[in-house]
Amino acid sequence: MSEGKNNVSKKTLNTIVSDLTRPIKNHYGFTPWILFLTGIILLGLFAYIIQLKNGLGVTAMRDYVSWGLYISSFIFFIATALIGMLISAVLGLIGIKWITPISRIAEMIALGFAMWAGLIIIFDMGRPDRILNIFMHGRLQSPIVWDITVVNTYVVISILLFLLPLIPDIPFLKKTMKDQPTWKQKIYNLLSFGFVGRPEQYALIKRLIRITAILIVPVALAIHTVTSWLFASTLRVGWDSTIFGPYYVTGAFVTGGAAVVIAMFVFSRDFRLKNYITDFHFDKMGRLMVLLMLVYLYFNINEFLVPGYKMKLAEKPHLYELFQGDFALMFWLVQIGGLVLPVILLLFKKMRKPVPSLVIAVAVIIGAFFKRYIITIPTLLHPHLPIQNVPEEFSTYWPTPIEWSITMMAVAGALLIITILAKLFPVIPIWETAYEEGITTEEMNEFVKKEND
Amino acid sequence: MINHKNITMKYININRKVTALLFILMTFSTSLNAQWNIPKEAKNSIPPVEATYKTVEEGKVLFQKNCISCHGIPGKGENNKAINATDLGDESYQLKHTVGEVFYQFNTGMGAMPSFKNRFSEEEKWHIAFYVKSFDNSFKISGERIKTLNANLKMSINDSDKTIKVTATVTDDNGSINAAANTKINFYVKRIFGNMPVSEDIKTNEDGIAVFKFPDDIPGDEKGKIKIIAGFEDTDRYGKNTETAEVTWGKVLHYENPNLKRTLWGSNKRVPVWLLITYLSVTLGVWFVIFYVAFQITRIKNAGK
Repeated sequence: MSEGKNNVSKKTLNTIVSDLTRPIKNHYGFTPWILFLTGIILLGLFAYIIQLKNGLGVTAMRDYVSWGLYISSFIFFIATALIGMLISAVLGLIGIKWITPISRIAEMIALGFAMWAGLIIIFDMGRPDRILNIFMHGRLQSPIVWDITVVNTYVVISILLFLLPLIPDIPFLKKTMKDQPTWKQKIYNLLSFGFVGRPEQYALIKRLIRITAILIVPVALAIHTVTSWLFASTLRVGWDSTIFGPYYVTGAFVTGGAAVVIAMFVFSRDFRLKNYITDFHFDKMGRLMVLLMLVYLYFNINEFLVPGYKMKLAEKPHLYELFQGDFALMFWLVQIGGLVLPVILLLFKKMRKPVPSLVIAVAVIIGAFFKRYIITIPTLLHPHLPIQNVPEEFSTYWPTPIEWSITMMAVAGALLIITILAKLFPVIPIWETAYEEGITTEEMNEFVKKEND
Repeated sequence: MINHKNITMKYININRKVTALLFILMTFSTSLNAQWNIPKEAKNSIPPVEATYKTVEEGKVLFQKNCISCHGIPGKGENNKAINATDLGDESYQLKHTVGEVFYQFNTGMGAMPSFKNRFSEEEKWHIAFYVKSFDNSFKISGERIKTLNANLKMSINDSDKTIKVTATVTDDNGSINAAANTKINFYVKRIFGNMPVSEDIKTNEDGIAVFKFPDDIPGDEKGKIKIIAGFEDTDRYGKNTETAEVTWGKVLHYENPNLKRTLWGSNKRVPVWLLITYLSVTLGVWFVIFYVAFQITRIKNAGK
């Protein structure tokens, strides 16, 4: 793609390597950020210990709302993790070039969020020691078993898809990281798998990347479809829908896309990679977001207009609650502020510049989080068979500080994984960037060897 | 008197609470200040039917179905005080109301007390009034009080033509045994929730013998087993003695326990085959590729030589 060559002049291999590895060495601002994340995680751990000791009674979840903030966060995390598949696999396989500098960022986000998604399920359990029961006594008929299977599979494939394109970068890291602690060099040695840049090795790795990229597409579609089936396979109002699978998948792309835009902004500024993640990439991501959000909007209209037009008796209180009841403010903020307005704004070229993109992406991702909240909680507040003489507290739900702390721990944990990965490995693939700048593999090998001698 | 208690007590207790809630508004708005305004002619109205032990008994059955949820069994203080329902067995009530007034009251209704005008026939309404007034000792009931005889049934089973012969006898006070002639015998089949009548108009002959040909289409259990119960229709006269016999005349039940099938809602052992195949092939297929890729990574080193 000719427009891939942007306003930046041709870079030499030397500048590429030093630009992309510099953030790994440079620790400016790193310690406060890590301390901040660790603080949140420690607070969450403290809250979790309280929850373990006293049981789920410390949450606001009662007989009506038994899936609260944890499960809605779980869907949000799974959704965010799905972007790795879209960017690196789907766009990569069709040969779109502008994703080169952001594919690894997308994979890092996928890894961080997918890993913590599994943990959130455990946070939602009053007796986490019983998690083994699902492997010993789980029923294959239950979507929960499918979900556990597919989440674990996705994490493993995501690790592979992160690791494989990393291998050709390792020789550059080995060379430039000689002044770094030995444990880091041991990791690089381990992950190089004996890669020395031979054409056969490149061919093998490219083939493996291709296999994994193809494999992750159905698995990623499955992960979010199955997550939606946890809801759609019930008869509950608001969940009993045939389009929940694609509705969740497209919603996930919107969420993950916004997460990638935010990460692109942070890395391009904080890691000083403006020459690599340029306005051009923000523009492309903005266009992609418009497409994804329009598809998602289409599903949203389906999901609410069709039942709203019919107004079946059981759906009526639920829909009224969303449209003009207790959840109306959140609902319309999410739909308009998190979906309709971003679509309109991103249609303008000026709005696809980095800073406006960041603001819009933050709005989209906050909207996406509360969208999951709106999918989960109002339905549970409208059971088909209300309990008689139910205590007042059962019919409302507002998450307790314990729940918020544990959820924030999950967010901080995912960010911590992304941070650690970004401090260990270049966030932009060196070899692919160099290759696109017209540098051959022989030149790369020579570069590595020369410095090593 | 009669054992209506065990069947209905539970029902009464629940029903009382519900009725109390439902009627509380009505009570406060209307019946608290309302007064019965019974016309004088009601006081002396003459029942078109006679008050006998039989009609009182029929009134009792209707009363139990329709009245005790609020009024309770007369004389036991089970009336619902929350809605000002009267205990109809109370002396103060009985002294103040003639049978005609009782009739008028539930025919018309007042406040929380609904009108039963169109619910029952004229006769039935009088029967209920008789029953209510039967708690007044000065109320005259004609006819003879029914005396239960010491009756017995003997069943003999004939498997070849599926008939049951019943011999009904009555032992009198002197100990001599006589045939219970010309009385109706009912046959039932025991089902889960009570007894199902299977006979019509079977009467004993002069010798107290009745023969019943068992129908062919009654479902039995997995072995065709059926429990047959025989009893007198006129329980007031002959008592509630029944005789039971087990036969294998029922249609054999072909019952497939759905819990033993492979279903979506079954246990893990009974997962549907299509689901098992789908799950295993997809999961194993994906993990095969994962292991293949992981194995190939270890071959990168060799490829470099």
